[in-house]
Order: sequence, then C-alpha cells, then structure tokens
Amino acid sequence: MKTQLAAMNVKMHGRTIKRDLSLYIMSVPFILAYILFAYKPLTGLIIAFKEYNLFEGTYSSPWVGLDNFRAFLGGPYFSRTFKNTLILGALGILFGFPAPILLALMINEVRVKWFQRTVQSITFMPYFVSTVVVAGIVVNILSPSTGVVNKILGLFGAEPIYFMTKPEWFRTIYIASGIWQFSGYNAIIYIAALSAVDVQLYEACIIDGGNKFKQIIHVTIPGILPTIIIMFIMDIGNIINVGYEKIILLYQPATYETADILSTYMFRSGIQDGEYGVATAVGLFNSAVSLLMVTATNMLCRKLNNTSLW
Amino acid sequence: MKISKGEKAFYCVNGFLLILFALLCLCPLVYVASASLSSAEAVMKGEVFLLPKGFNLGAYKKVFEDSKIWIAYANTVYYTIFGTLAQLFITCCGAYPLSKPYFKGRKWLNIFVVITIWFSGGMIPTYLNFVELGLVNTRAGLIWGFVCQGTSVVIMRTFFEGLPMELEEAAVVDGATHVQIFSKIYLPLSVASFATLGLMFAVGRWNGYLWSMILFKEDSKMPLQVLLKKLVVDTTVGSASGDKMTDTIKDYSDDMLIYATMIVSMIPMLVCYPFLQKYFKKGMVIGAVKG
Amino acid sequence: MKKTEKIISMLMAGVMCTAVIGGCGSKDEVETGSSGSILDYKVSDKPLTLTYFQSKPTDYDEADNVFNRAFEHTNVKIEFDFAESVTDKDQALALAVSSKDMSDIIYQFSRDTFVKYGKQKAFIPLNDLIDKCAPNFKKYLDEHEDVRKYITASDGNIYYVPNVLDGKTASGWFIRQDWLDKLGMEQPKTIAELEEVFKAFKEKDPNGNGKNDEVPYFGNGSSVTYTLNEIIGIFDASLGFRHNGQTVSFGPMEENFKTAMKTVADWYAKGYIDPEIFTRKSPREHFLSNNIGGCTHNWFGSTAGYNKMYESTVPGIKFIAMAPPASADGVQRELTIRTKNLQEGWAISASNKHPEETMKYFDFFWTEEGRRMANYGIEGKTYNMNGDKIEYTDYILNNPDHVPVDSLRTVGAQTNFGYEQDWNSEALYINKIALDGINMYIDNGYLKGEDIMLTYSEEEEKQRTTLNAQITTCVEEAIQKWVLNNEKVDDSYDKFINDLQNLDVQKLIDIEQAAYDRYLQ
Repeated sequence: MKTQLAAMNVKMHGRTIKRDLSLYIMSVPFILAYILFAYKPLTGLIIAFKEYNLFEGTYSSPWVGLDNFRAFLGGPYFSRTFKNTLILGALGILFGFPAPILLALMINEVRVKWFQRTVQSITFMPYFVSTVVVAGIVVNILSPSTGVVNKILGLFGAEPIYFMTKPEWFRTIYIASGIWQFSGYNAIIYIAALSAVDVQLYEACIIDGGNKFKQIIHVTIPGILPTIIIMFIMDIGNIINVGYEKIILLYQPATYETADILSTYMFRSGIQDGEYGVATAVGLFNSAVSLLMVTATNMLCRKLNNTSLW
Repeated sequence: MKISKGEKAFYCVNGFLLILFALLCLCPLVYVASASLSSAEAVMKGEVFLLPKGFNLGAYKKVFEDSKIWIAYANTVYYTIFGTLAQLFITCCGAYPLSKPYFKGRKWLNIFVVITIWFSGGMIPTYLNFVELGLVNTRAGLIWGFVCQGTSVVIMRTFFEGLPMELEEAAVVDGATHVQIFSKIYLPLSVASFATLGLMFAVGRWNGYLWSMILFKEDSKMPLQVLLKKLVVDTTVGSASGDKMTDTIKDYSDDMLIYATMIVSMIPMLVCYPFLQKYFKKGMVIGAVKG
Repeated sequence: MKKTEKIISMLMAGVMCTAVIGGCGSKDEVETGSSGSILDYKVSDKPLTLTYFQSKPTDYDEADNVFNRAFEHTNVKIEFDFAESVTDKDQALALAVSSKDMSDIIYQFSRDTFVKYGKQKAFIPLNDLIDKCAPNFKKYLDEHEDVRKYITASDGNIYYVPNVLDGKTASGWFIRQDWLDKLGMEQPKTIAELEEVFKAFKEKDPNGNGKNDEVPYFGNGSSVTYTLNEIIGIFDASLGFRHNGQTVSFGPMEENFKTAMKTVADWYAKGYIDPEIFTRKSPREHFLSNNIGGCTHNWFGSTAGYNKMYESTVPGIKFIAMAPPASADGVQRELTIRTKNLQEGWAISASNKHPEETMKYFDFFWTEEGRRMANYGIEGKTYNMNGDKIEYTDYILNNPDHVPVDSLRTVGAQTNFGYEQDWNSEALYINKIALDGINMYIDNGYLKGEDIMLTYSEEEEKQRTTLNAQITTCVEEAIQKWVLNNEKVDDSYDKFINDLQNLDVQKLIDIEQAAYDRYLQ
C-alpha cells in the first residue's frame, strides 16, 4: 500500500502539493479550536502545586510544592479507597466493556427489521435515566420488604437480604446497574461499525461452509476489531476515573469496605468543594495514571494488531 | 436462502435473549412513566406497577407551570442542533486529515488530540478562559466552547480509516481537492458514522446543564435542563428544611416530580431516535465502491 | 461596669431608633426620592441601586415588596443579580470571585465561605463600618456578645451581617396517640416503657388490619448520623462533641453511647425499628399513609402537618408530640435544639463602590421597622396591627397558591438577607399540634441541647477537616454495623475505641477543647 501511494505521489507531483495543502487548510479550524478551548485552560493545572487563592488568581497564589498531593495520598484510608477504585474500574472493564459488543452482535443477527429497530431503541433508553433515578430504582427493587428481587428469592424459600448494606454485594450492584444503563448507548458505535462490514465476506464464509458462529468469529468480529481495540484502549484510561455520583447514592457506611473510593472519600472530607488546589491535584494524578496505562495498552495493541490510538 | 435447523435455533435463542434484555430495560422506564402519572398516594403506598393508578397530571402541571419552560425548550433545541453541527464540523476537520497516512505530523497531531482526553484544566481555568475570550453569557460560547472531544475524533478517524483507499485515488486522478473529496465522496458514505456521533453529541448537548448554568447570566438563555434541575433541587431542599414545609397537600410527591421532569426531558430525544436509526443500514460503503 | 455600658448603649440606640439616623455620609434634610418615599432612614441623596448576588424569591411580587418599601425609607434599591434557575450558588460565587466580577452585595450560606473569601480580600471587613454606619446592628452585637464572637473571623474581622434564626425547638418525639388509646396504654415516660409500647405496637395489631405489618419506630430518611442522633438523644448520648462546662468529650467514646447502641441494636433485631431505616426515602409519607408506623422523632412543624394530609385516608389518625422518655437517671431530655444558626448572611464585595451606604442600608433591617418588615412583610398586605398585636391577613393564612411561609416570601419577607428572625412570625401560622408540642417541650424544660458556637483558627480548621473525615468514616461504619447486627457492640466496641485512637481522635478533642476554652473566656 505504501509503495503504491508513493508511486502515486511521484506521478502527480504538481497536484500532490495542492491536494495536501487543502488537507492542511482543512485541519486549521480543528487545531485552532483545540488550542483555544482545550489547551489554553490547561495552564490552570499549575494550581495543583499552589495554595489557590481565587481572588488573587493563579499567578499570584503561593506555591506549596506537593502539599496538595500529600493531602490525598497520605491518610489512613488511602490504601483502601485506592484499592476499591482500581477494583471497581477493572470490574467495569471486565464486564462493562464486552456487554455492548455482545448486544451489538446480537442485534446485528436479528433478521426481522422492525424487531431489530425496536430492540435497539428500547435498550438505548436507560441512558436517559438520570443517576438519581437509577439509584432510586436499584434501592427499590433490592428492598428486603417490597423489592422484586427479594420476593423472587422468597419463592425459593430464602430469607430476604438487605442488599444495600452488604459489602459483598456492592460491586455486583454497581457494575450491573452500569451495564443496564449504558450497554444500549455504547452499543450504537459497534452497530455503526457493523454496518460497514463487507457482505461479500459473509457470502465467502458461507460458501466455505461456515456456520453462524464461524461467521461471527471469522468475519464479524475481525470486521469491527479496530473499533473494539480503540474503544478498549480508551476505556483502560478510565479505570481510575470512577465517578462518585452513583456511589454516593448507593453506598452505606456498612459497605464502605468495598464501596468507598478515592473520590467519594474526598467528597466526604469536603475537599471537592472549594479546595481547588487539591481537586486539581487529584485530577492531575488521575490523568497521569490514565495516560500511563493507555500508553502501555497502546503499545501492546500496536504490536499485536497494528491498531493504535496514535 | 434456506435456513438450517441450527440457524433457526440460533435466531430463536438470540431473539429470546434480546426480548429479555429489552424488557429489563423497559420495565423501570414504564414504572417511571406510570408513577409520574399516578396519584401521589398510590405511588407512596407502592401500588403502582406498570400502569398508572389514579391518573393525575399534578407533577406535569408543576413542571409546565413555569412560563419560562417553553423558552428553555426552544433554547435547548437551538443549542442541541447548532452545538452538534459545530462539533461534527470540528471533529471532521481533525478526523479526516488524521485518517490519511501521508498527512505529515499525523503522529504528533494524534498525540495532541489524545492528551485532551485525559487532561483538562478544571472548572475555574476553563471559566476564566471563557471570560478572557469574551464568551461569557453568549450562546456562541456554549456552542463553540465545547466542540473539543478527543474521543470522538479518534472514533471518527477510525471510521474514515475503514473506508477503502480506492475511493480517494479515483478522485485524486480527476484533480479534486480534499474538501471536494471529503464532501462528495466521504460524506455520503459515512452517514452511519455521522448519525452515530451526531446522536452522541446531541444527547450530550441535550442533557448538559452544568456549563449553561455557569456561562449564562440571564434566565432567557437557559436551556431546559437547568430549569428542570432547579425544580428538582428546590423540592428536595425544601422538604429537607424541616419546619418550613408545612400543612400542604400536594397532589404529587418529590419522586413524581423527578420522574415527570425526566420524561419531559427525554421524550424529544426518543422521538428523534428512530429517524436516525435508518442510517445504520448495511452495505452502503460496499455498494458505492462496486458501483 | 459592663452592665452600665450596656445600659448606656441601649439608651443610645433607643434614641437613635426613634430619631432620624445620621452618623455617616449624608446628613441632608429629608427629601423625596420617589413618590411615596418617607426617607426617614436616608442612606444616599440620589437614589442608589446596588446589585445583589441572589435570585428573586419564587413568585416574587415585583410591584409591592419589602425591598421596594425599604427603598422608600432608604433611597437604596436592590437589584437581584442572579439567574433564578442557577442552583449551585457556591460554585457561582467561586467563579464570580475568580473573574473579579462580583455584585455589590453577596449572600452566602456558610460562615466558612465568608471567612475564606474575606481573608482572600474578596469581601471587605465590616468592623469599622459597623461602628460608623450601623448603630442598630452594633447595638444588637453589643447585646449578643456570642453572636459577635461567632461572626468574627480568626483575623479579627467581621465579614458578614448574619441572618439570625429564632425559636428554640428543632425535633421532638411523635407517637400515634390513637394507637395508644386503642391498646389502652399511656404515653411512655421512660425508655423501659417506650420499649413496652414498641412491643405492643409490634405485636397487638394496633392498625387492626389483621396483619403484622406495624413498624413501631421509623427514621427521618436522612444520613446515618442524623437518623441515629434523633433516637439516641434520650440515652443522653450523642455522635458529636459534648461540652461539660469545663471539658470536652467525644460522644461515641462515652459509656452512655455504648448503652444506646446496644439498646438500639436490640430493638432493631426485635423488629421495633424500620428494617430499612438506612435506605428509606420519605419515611413519614410511607409509614403514615400506609397506616403502619407508630412513632418517630422529627421536626415539629412538618411532622404535625401529616395529620391533616392523611385524615381522609387514615381515619382517626392522631400523630402528636409526646415528652421524651426519661433515661436511666430519670431525666427527660431533648438534645436537638434550634440555634441562631448564623451561617448565612450578606457581605459587601470588593467590587462595591458604596460600602458606607451599603452598610447603612444593611442597618435598616435592624431597626424596629426594618425587622418587622423582614419578618412579617408589608402592613395592610400581609399583616395588620390589632392594638400592638400582629395578625396575618388571608394573603398569608388562606392563600390557595402557597403555604404561609412561601406567601411571606413572595413579598420578600423571610427571604435571604441579614436580619433577626422573630419566632412569633412562625408561631402565628404554625399548626396547633406542632405548637402544642413545641410549648410542651419548652415549658417543661426538656430542651437540654447545647447552644454554643465555637470558632477555630485557620490551622485548626484545616486539621479538623482532615481528622473529621477520617473519624466520621470510622464512626459511621461501626454504628451501622452494630445497628444492623452485623457485629455485636460488646465484641467490637473496644476495637472501635482503639481505631479511633489510631486515627488521632485525641488531636481532634484537643482542638475542640482549645476552642471551648477560648469560648468560655
């Protein structure tokens, strides 16, 4: 491919410059937007090393070195909360990442058009449900007295379980509700990618005597693999960025040992509001860890599959 | 084409599992809708399951009581449409050149984008940036200030990379510029990816409230979500302050109000969704190359 | 000596109240600024408009309201400078401060915010201005040294004029009197009797539906700490600090606390307490509308209101206040009280070009006339004078659109600004069941809560924040496990104390003790 391209470039020397010029012109608004709206505010990251005084502004505030980092990296609960953060993030990838792919594949295999569309629309809907309501619904259906789950357990003669106060159940609840809420939404990327898989490849596979599963494994999955890999690399970067909103609504002190993560602990210590230096330090720490993990995954993926983020 | 027994079984199991998952997704939503339409007492007693009981529009009345809500609705539609278009434009301007292997500086530009996915300046620096650019309290600020989303550039780039090279080669021979190639060949072929990302942008814009609340100083510019958020916050805060709430019989409860605002804000998106779906059609790319 | 000073200052203030207030800035003759102005408390010669970092009250009456009336007296107009739909006000302030684009007057919701931004010079110190321009507020501070102490930051400056709450009670015990009557029981006088009542509620089917669905005690649907604090008060136990006249102790480390936890855990195991107490939303609505809840501890005003709300669906419901059951030492205690709060108030921003006029304007609401306006609204519209008694009009008492307090707020009264609340303004419209309960608690001296307001230095505040987060985590985790019977109190209490000590609880106690010593001085 590359040599072919080079040959083409040589052949149309005069036109190549003009052609490429238009390519650069095209990227100007893009670069401009990123400099103005993404990079300019990044200068604010230096407040992670300052005792930030809102009124005096970033530059006049005094430097404090790594104090802001010490504020959250020290402390007796750091190891527990950090461990919980990583476990929740990793479980999120282990179960939350394959779920939308599976859903997209299943929807893709439906041959009845209206059914396909209906299922797709319905599974997309939970995305619109706000976190507060999701948490409310979870608490409701898991209630020991009136919840559906305990009623079903009751049919088998089991004692009702007060799920929300059991540390051993928290992770399951958190991950499952996440899958429920986001699978349909995340699946649309894969569905779009699936729509671009060449039909001829299926036909070839069928001629070779491939059954449904062979078709999926040899045609469908390879067809969307670049998308899967890209999404995977980006998800790896989010392992540490577990949001605290839903956890705050779902956890109880009795479940802290599995549920309390870095950001929820910071939230309770009131650091989230007003302590901009520490908040920025936390953000910077998370970003750095993310970038590290992404770079590693990216290198691995490039070696294995030649697909990468950059 | 004949369908073998094995395949038949596959389709059945597949369909069954999908129905199961769809029901799982649907039930809570139906509950939310029914509860928002039921009498407060029925909701409180837990008598509502899938159908509304003691039909009552109190919560909706409360939501629509505010005359500002229609302006807010219009604002939301405006920000969603133009914000999505702006975001698609900028994303394409980046993703298209980045998908070309011969684009010089491609690697650095990729890293330039990827860094923004994980690093951000935080709220205060971002706000001060808007102040410096004179975009506070302007609609343009909300529309253009949030066009940078590295994730979508990467996704779009991956989509473009998946399109066959031959498409471009033919056009280059004809002496077309990249703007022409992009608009004449790539654009029609990428409807599915545009629909996907456009939908994601639109949903994000539709649901966003934080920055509109921060950037706008006037109620007349606020989008729907800010108003709905206020409604919900006010009710919950009001009832938490103990003695201040007294002696009234409301025909809706706080939960119902949250449910109703949720329904009000999600209906337009749900109505639009099926129209976008038809773009997820199979084989468009292939057809074009062959033709 | 002190007493004479006080008397003199009171006399002075009295004179000033009746006379036209001069003092600082403009001493000109009274002149008409707008039609109907009185200008008996003129602040500025020309009409002056000040922007106010606060949103309009809900359903605000633009034409006739407290602030327009205040304009007629002072020649200062307030312009609300805050979009109504903005809900996160702390954030909005942080952004305004950081961009140095602030309104003239700022309303905020916690002392910490005032101190923090005051020290950053975003708010101006008011000490001199108060002496110079605010005789009425100064008089109030002179009479209430505790308030002055509390609103003074550790750098010696006062950065805000507070919104002072009035009233004595917060929460109280409520019980289904109709259930007691049906079972032929008296209101419980002691904790032992309370347990008997719980037992009877649980077992004797007081709601008469033949099902064992009664829950004797339900919580308030709030955080773990708050929910438990409501119930353990009768054991003379608390989750916070206790100040014993001289020394400070930490509630969870006291013997009473251990007893309370054991009893509560026992009650939970026996089914006397809502099994879902920690995740129940809107418990009063749930338990009262379903006619299955017997007793709770919650705010008087709102709890009493449920009688009317459910009178048609729960026939004969009589959910009334009862005296707190006495603990082992025979004392009946109610540890929750309503304090002056003093968290909220208004401040003058560094962008304000008329600090003196602003301070004088603030002072208007500390005059007799201003305070009445702030509390009761507008004479003729929201209240009338009957002799020297105030009576609300139908606009407040029988307004089809709003509850009384919200009706008051439509004219700007009882909204967010610096004034001293008058409990009577609430007592005049409150439900009778609530009022009876409140008076019973006050008259019998059940209120044993501490009304002390400690202040901390910047350094102490920093350490407190960190320590508090750690210790609260430890305490909440332990108490919830005990109540849910995941762990036995007797088994793990010693380990709990040990954990607290490892988290340096002593440091936290020392800080509290130092603050208390300063307070006692």
